Amino acid sequence: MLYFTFLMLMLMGIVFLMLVKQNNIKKIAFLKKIQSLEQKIAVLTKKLESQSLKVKLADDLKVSIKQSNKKLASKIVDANLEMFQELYSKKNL
Amino acid sequence: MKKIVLFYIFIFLFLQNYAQNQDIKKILGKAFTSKDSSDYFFKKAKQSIKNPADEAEYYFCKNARCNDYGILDSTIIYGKIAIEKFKKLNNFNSMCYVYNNIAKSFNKQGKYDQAIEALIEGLKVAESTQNEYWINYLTTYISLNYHDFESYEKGVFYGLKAVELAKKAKKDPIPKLDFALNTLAINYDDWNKPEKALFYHYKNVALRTGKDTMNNSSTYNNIGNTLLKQKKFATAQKWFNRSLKITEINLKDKPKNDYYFYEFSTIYNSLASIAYQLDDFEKAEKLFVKAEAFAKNSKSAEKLRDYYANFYLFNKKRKNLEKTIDSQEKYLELRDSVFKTERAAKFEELETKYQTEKKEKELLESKAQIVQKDYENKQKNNQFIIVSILALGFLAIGYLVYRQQKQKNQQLAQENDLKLAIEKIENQNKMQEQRLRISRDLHDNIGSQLTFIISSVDNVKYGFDITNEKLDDKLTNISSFAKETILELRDTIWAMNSNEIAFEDLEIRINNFIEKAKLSKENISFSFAIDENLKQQKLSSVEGMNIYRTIQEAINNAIKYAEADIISVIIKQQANQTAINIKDNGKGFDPETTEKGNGLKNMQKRIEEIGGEFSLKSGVNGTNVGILI
Repeated sequence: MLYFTFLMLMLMGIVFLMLVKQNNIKKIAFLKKIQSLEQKIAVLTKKLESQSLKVKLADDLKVSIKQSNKKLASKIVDANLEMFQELYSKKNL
Repeated sequence: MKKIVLFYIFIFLFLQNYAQNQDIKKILGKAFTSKDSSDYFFKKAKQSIKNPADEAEYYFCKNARCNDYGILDSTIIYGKIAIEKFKKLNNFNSMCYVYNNIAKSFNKQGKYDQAIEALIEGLKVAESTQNEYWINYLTTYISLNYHDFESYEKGVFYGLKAVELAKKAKKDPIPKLDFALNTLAINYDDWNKPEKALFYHYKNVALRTGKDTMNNSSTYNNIGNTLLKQKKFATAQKWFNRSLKITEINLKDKPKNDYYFYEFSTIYNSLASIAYQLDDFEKAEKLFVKAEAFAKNSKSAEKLRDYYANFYLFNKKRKNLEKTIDSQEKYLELRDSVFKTERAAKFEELETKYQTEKKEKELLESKAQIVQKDYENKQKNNQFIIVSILALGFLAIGYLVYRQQKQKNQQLAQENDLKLAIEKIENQNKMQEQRLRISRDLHDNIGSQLTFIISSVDNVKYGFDITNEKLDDKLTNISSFAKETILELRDTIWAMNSNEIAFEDLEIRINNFIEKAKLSKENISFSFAIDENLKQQKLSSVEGMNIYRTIQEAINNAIKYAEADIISVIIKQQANQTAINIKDNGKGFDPETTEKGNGLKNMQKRIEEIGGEFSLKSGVNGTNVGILI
């Protein structure tokens, strides 16, 4: 009986240690995996931030171009009016 | 081939040995049952003895045979040898049987002390093996022997014990109870307790009624005896007659059985007693003759003693002095041989020895039981502790496995969250990339359209001789505006194409701008100074763009509105920050009173947008635009 108990306890101890060791190995592997994923996220986030800035620039430019477009259109209309007046006066002469 | 031959030899020897063994059993069977050739078969059996078991069997059969034929001394001698042999073979059942035969022989010889000694030995063997049949039978037979020795108190003690044992018997209880009740009753009867004797006798009759009355002869005979002692002659005679009839029938089946001679002797002796007590001496005389003959044939000293005791009383009553003296002498002689004081002492000694041994045995058994219980308790405790330890171990392992599983699930969830986040960011990245690509396409398109406008306007100006100064100015204005817009577009696209912008890049860009500005106003002195260690400092595209636009706006203002002729741009390290100052010597303005135009507002907004500090100092000596990032 004692021999059996001792044997069982030994077995349990071995199983326990094996489980703990396996757990540690899995934990380390998981941490490595998580680290690589986090690194990937950091790189992607940086890229995203950079892209966001570019998008912001693009948006600003869009606004600026809109204003320029408006101004240019007005200038062209003025020039056209002037040209029309010029041509009209020449035609009347 | 050799192996086959050896195999056949082995089979042959085995069969021969088996046949021989069979032979000795067959021969002993014949020796036991044969009437005339018994001695011949026993001789033959003795020659066939091969091993101790055969030898023991041989002496056992000899003992049984002698017992059946009433050869009392031989029964005892063969029995003792057989017991020694069976002891070595651990054949306890046969030992009990032989002890019983020896006791019977001693009983018939009137050696009750030795009979009881043999019975006690047999009882010890039976008790050690828990043999129910022999424990019951030998206890009853001890009671019977005490009765024959006229020690009725002890006879009753063992009789009551035998009755209790018979009641508890698991197998075949009726014959055991019959024997025990009968023995108990005759003990009470001879102890002058006729009521109790009759009580147990009638109980026995009730037990047998309707089942097996052919074994009731001794019970009827005993009832008759009890009634005879109470002088109830008529009733007693009725019971004796019943017993006589049964015994006569039984004797026909087994004509040479001593037991029936014993029974006949008892019955005729009792009938003779009734006859002479009723003064029928002639009938009594005849009955006494029969009683004597059967008593002698029964080879029972007890029966012969009873006969002489009764015959002496009969002669005394009919006043035959000579026969009275003769029968009394024989009676006394027999009684003395049977009931010696030494024997009585030996009985006591035997009894004490048996009871002491029994008590010691019981004590030892109880001690062993206590030790066994202690051991069992200890073992139970140990088992409980062991089971508890093992259960704890299993629980610990179970908990560890559960925890690992839980951790695994958590890890999976965490991994999934991260993967989802990556997926989300990647999607956002893709979407923004798409937006940027669309923006770039749009900007390229706008750039080409503006270039087309500039080219068209320049073509109109050179192709047609435009004398209208106003129109010429407007066309020039369109062309300049379109060029400025293209520059602005290019600057932004430059910033968009760079992930990071260094001050060095900014310097080149600003220098380009200043060079162009110089073209519009020749007498302006521009200077650009930057700390060497700041040249490589990186700015984000938005930061770079906003700083560039602010500097551009400040220079534009200095040229356009302040009419400055010295403009300087200084970039230097100030504590942990970078300070950018755009100074001019223009006419300046009062920032407190002058309302801020769109240009100034935009400058401040751009700097604040990138987390910097914007400051403006203006006076008669010029304007200083400060940026701190």
